[in-house]
Amino acid sequence: MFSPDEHDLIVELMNLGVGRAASALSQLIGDEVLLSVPAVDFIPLSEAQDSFHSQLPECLAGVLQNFNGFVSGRAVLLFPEERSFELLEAMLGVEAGEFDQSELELEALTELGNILLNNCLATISNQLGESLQTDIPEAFTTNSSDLSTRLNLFDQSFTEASILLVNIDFSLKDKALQGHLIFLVDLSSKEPFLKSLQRYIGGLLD
Amino acid sequence: MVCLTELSAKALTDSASVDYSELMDSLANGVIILNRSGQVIFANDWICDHVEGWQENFQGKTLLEMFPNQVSSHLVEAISDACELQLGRILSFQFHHNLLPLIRVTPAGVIQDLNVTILLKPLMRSGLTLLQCQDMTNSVKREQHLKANEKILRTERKALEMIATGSTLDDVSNTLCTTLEALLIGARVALLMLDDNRHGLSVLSAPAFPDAFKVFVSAFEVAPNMGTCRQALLYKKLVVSENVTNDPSWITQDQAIETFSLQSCWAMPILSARNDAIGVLVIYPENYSVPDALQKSLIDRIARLGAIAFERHQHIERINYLAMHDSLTGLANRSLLSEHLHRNLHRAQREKQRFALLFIDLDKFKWINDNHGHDAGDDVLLIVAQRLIKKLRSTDICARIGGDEFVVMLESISNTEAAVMVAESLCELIKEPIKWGNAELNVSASIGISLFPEDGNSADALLNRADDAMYKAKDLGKDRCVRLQASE
Repeated sequence: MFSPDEHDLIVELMNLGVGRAASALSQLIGDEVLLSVPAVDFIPLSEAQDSFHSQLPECLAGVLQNFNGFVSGRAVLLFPEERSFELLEAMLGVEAGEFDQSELELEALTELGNILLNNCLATISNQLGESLQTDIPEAFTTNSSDLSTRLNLFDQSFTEASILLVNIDFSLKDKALQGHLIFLVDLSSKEPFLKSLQRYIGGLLD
Repeated sequence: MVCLTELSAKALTDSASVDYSELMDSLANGVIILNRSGQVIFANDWICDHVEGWQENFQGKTLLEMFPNQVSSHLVEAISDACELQLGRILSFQFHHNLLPLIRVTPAGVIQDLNVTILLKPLMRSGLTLLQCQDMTNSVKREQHLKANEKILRTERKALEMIATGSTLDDVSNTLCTTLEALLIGARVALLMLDDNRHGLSVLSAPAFPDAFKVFVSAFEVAPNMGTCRQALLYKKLVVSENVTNDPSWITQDQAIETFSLQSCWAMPILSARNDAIGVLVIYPENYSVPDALQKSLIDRIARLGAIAFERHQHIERINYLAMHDSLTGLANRSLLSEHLHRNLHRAQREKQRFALLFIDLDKFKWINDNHGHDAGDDVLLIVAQRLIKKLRSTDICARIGGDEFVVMLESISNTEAAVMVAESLCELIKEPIKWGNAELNVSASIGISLFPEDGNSADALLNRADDAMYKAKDLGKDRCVRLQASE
């Protein structure tokens, strides 16, 4: 669907966005947060279920944000459920609890995901000179088998969609964990998106 | 039903006339609507009531203009992202403590800071941004309660596991104290145990105190009304002294109050299953204070665990004692004798010293049982045991190993004559008449003597040799001491 150049550009933009998110998070908690993107994969909608199964941990905590603009879709940050709360506890400097899935911790996770997703999406749209709106984020917990349902992957609004699966390495103090970003892109809005990418690549070549 | 349907139909037709501003003002959350430039175009009553210094003519002003030094930079940035770039944002109270100058007045009239989470939702169609303040105060309280309860449950489980798996009382006590210290921030906790005589207190565990605290506790006045701990023991309930410096029951303790920087003292008695006070859980909080309901229940639960640990410890001690002692006389039994004998044998071999065993069998004991009953027999055994104990050195061991059979181990002797002398004096001592009601009971003893190393170099050999010598004493007419010759 994407040419090698376009693919590289998306990876590049993703790295840039994640870098900005890292500095925003560092500023938020007053301690260094390191983020890196070791892998980016494009997956057709039909293979999503299998990919989620094979690539994601069983129990997941996530933050979902819808976006609209020159390209539309859903952005999701996913963490292995247990580790995500460890990370939050480290960020908030609170003592580790036994039952981690509390309403309040889920809310803190929402902001963490919000900052990450907004930075990624805003960086992409800024770089491409386009505009993009994001809705307020919502947090949830699920498991890898139910994820497709949770994300409404197969509802009517996405007859034509593609999935961008981004692995993201997170490290803070002595904690390190891998999270995943999923961008579910509505391909009915493919044209303006592709055009923006090509224009940007064209600009680079000029 | 008809009526309701008619009403709802009417409501539907009237929906155009709903007063949205009234609706907004009745919400329990704060609502502000901002335009693209971040200027306030609407704020509901909640905002006017809860934002300190909210201006009546707010319209057209940004939050930063209204509160130049009181709006957090994170909020300013998020508002600009939301209004200009239309990026939805959540600012959780957990990451941000002072987003806006918010206060609330409690039903009791106390002014408190508010924990809020702010949501910024860009409204796609109008281009406006909805700012929502959600009061998290109650959620936070609920969560704190839950977490505190979880912690207590974990502590209880850990302590019960420790008790069940046979950890020492010291270890369990230390765990209880340190956990309570972790739950009551800044407090120092000690577990005190009532001594066997039920007057003195001794420190079982006081992890946050120096050793001198033990001296202070054990030297504290024995009078029942002195100190908070003693009152807790007396009244068998939590006793709180908010300020020990002016508490009459702490008078004369100025030195300790200063040395250990004591302020308040909360003392919870540790009660046995029979409701006897057996110890005290004592808490010295960081400031002058009294415990709230949650702290009280926490203290109560830890004290109960303390009671279980204490009682379990006492049971184990009792079981160990019973396994090693004769229940009638309290003397060592055969097992404990054997333990001491082996230990002494090794010591004597190592130090090249001599020691003696005296095998004592009472004469005419059966006759007393048959003619005066078993109570009399028991009394005789008890009195003989007491006489033996009184005569012997504390390092010697006296054991009852059968009906009327005793074994005395003289831990070290300088020569054979010394052993014979002790044996003869015991013979005389046992012979002294024993009063039993109006009667006078007379017993005597046959004593067999064996010496280490001359008469054997193992515990069994020495015991057998002393036993044989005792039989020889019986054969020779009882009431005497015998040591077998080497040839016998």
